[in-house]
Amino acid sequence: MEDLLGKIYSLFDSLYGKPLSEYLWGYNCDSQDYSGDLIYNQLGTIAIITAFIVPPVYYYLWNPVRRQQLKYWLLLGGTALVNLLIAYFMISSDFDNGLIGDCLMYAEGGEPIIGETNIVMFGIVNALFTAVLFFVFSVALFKWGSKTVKYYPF
Amino acid sequence: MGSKRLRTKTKLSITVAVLLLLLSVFTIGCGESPRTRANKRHAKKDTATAWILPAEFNPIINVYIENSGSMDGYVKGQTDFEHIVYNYLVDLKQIEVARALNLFYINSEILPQKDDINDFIEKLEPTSFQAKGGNRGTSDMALMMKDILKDANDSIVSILISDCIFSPGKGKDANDFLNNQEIGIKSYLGDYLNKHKHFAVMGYRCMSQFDGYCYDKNDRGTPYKGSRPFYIWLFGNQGALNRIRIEMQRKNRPIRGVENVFTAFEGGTETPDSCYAVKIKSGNFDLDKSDPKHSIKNLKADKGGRIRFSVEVNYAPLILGNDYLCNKKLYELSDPKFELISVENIDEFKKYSHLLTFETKQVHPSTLEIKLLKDIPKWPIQYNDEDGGAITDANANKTYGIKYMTNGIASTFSKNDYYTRMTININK
Repeated sequence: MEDLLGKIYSLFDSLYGKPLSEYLWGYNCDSQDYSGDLIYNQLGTIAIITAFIVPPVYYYLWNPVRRQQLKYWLLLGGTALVNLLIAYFMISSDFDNGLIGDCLMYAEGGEPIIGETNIVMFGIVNALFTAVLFFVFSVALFKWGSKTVKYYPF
Repeated sequence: MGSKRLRTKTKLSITVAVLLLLLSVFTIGCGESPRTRANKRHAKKDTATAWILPAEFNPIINVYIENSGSMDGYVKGQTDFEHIVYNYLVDLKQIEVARALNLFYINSEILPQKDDINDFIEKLEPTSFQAKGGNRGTSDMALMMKDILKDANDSIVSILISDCIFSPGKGKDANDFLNNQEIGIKSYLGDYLNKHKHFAVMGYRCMSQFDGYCYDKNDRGTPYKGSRPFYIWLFGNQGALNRIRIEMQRKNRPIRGVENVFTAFEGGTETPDSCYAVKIKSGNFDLDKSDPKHSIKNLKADKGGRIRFSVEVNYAPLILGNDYLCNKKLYELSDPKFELISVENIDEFKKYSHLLTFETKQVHPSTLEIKLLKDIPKWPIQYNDEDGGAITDANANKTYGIKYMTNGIASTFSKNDYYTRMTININK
């Protein structure tokens, strides 16, 4: 079960590259094993928690009476965006601090293979993952108990 | 009523949701994962191996120079023999590996000398050789080895410097003598190996000016002036020999004038888990998270259509030369569908010394066992003087009986046909 979130993210690793994926799995270039932090789990847990906490705010606290559909999607989009930014800044910080090992950072010829694009692409994947969770939690768990917006998003 | 049912539904939804969240966080964050278990397993296995001696291991080095009559020609005047031996002894002292460096002459008996290298070298002259005594008329290499190893142990490295010419003495059957020498060497070294399982032998063939009498198999001396071979043999614990070898290389102090090298040790060991690992990104595959160093999954063709992966391995403790280790023919793979396409030297002083790259035409699950085979050097046959007659320019680079000596050494270490083996799991 520890690897479940990583396996879900890895389905999309062609979008952000295997080297970055290995880093997020916790690959340590020195020890050549996965003894580093399992960042997939850290970011995945944040995604789950935010996708779990925000919908009840919409359904039980906010209870908007107008433009419910628009507000639902804005809230979903906002939550996804926050998770994109969390992933981006977290990995960028590791990148800037040289925490990503050379065996992942560079190709045989010495050219870098992890860059801004890879990090942004992973941020987008993380945002999509959050959005899907937000939607599933909303539909499966929360909307049924709402007084005013139980028919949203549909 | 409707509102109450709604509140009950809400509470139920939240309760289920909270339980789901707690369950997911709990399963993600808790418990010992396969990765953790695998790391612990490998750590345990590594501590059980005695492949490599600790870096701080400092042996006692005993140096024996043969002073039989045939050696006089190597020490007459200034010769390469003296320069090579002098440099070697100084280097042995200066690399600071030895706890002590003791000097001896050896023929039929061991003659301890003062531990002063300069004095020792300055006295390398025919007259002082003769003055040191002992029976200088015959060279019984097997007995010399027996004497050298008599009081040796794993913390002693014995170095024998000799022309290695087998000299039975007058009136003895030379062929019988050679055969008995081979058996004797095998027997004495075998006895030692039984007590010291990490015993190893290294030999260097060097050339030097020679001006003196060469003795044939019938002990007839004929004068010869020219270039003749001599040998430096190291006997001791494999780790200790390797420590000396690596420190000499690290400090850029190779033995001068070495033309050929001979290495023998039993081998037959598993390459320790910590000494090899699949190189990440060396092909289109995933590392197995539970055993990332030794197992790969989803091996597929890369963009160039090649199905390949590389393994980094530390062969430095094997006291084998780079030419040997980079010879693809000396590796045996258990799965014929895989091919070793290259062996590259990385750096002997780093974590891994060599990079092995494997390729296959067809993806299939496999437990690939890679053996580094034993191959006895051929140069002793090339430089063996079969006749044992008078030395001339035509056979001056040969040594009477050297083949029998190396055969005796090699057959001591013949229990295994390989030095080491490692295993990679592929798509299992």
